[in-house]
Amino acid sequence: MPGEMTGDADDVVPTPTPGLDGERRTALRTIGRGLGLLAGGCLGGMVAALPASASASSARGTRADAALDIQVLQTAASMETLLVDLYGAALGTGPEGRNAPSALAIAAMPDVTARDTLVRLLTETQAHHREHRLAFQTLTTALGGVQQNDPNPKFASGVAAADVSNPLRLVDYAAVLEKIVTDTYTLDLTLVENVRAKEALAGVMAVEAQHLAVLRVVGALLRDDKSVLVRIPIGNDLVNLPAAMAVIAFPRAMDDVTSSSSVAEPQSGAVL
Amino acid sequence: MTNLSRRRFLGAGAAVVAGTGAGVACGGGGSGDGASDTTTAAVPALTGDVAVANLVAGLENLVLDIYDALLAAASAGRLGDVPAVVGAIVATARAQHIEHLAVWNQVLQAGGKPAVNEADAGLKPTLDSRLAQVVDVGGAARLALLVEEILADTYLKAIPTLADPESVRAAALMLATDQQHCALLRYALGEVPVPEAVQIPDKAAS
Repeated sequence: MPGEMTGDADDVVPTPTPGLDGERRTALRTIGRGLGLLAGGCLGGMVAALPASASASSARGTRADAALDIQVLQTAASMETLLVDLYGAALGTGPEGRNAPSALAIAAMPDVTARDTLVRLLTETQAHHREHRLAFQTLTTALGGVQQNDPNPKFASGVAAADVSNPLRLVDYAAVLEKIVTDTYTLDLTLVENVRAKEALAGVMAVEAQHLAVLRVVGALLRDDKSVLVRIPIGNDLVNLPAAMAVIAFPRAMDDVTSSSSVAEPQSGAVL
Repeated sequence: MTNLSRRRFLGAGAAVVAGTGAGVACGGGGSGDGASDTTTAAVPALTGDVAVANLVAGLENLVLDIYDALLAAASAGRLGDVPAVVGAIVATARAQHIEHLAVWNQVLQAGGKPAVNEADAGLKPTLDSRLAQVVDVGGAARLALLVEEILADTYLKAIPTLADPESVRAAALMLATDQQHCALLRYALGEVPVPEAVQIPDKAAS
């Protein structure tokens, strides 16, 4: 894996947050330990008493519910900022401009069509993440929280230190981050109460999963020296696209969280 | 694949993902009062997580029927030359939908309801009509994309209504996988693989 993600399992066990009800604190600690939800645990039963819908919860919601929802949204915004910045650097629009290592790497790609396709994909993906951040920020303030504008501190140093000095490393690293946000929002969906927050997280998570699939495929093609197949539209070259791309794009029926260090817990990007 | 052979397959699939439905068995979104052999028309309407499981299980069966038909057409040479990646997408996605179906049937059975092994009756005529019009690989990929979008949108719409966190998580993971099916199908079709910034459930079944 290119670059290093900071933190280990012990570091990311969330600290119980004053004001959160006991059941949801317990659920958060469970997430911090890697969930184990597929192992047949009874988390479902443990929190079954939670309201069935956010509309119901908004009617009888508590300040603790709103506090956790706000933390989730702030952290989501902070993760989106990380991604906007990563793609911005690669597109030469970050603080280092066209001298950013990832921007230089893309500019040097010998296959011009593959380069232009990658630039297009990164541009569109960055635009998506800008929209995601805005959605999460808007919801945060609508719930009475403070807008989060900074990158997530748990992952920021790892992203800054990541080696993205060639296109493959960049694409692989972007895939790592897209997987992190996909996993994070999936877990968030089991925590939030507000229905608008649920809808936003689900609608955004679904798109992050698609970004992940595309990056996995592009990364595999670059790794196998098949950049000639990085094309939109791919046209007649479709016959040359390896069958393995299917398993690479969606390797599991349920691509669950594999490590507790690979999620951004609600507290990790929260601001007061 | 016949219903019988699929049921056999589902038995194995259910064992693989047995843990996934355990939370539902523990927490229970359903309000079932015991197993029933009757059809849904003869019992009170399903509610809550069990109702969602019933809906999406029917859709998963529908997707499997469509994929079975597409694979049969390809094997019979009725779609012309099929690029390897297109065949792999359909075969891999099909296997993953079998796992998804097994999860929802576990949810249903944990709620005291019968497993669903038939395609959604509401959408089946429409999609069978589309299937009858498929004459080439492009048409097959477009139909596959359509059924994946319907299923993904249905999961997206259902997630905020689910009560049990295990059901929420399962639906979210399946939504992600189905959207990945969509992305690669679009790439194969020469389209922008991720066309929208935020998914909207405009094709959701109900």
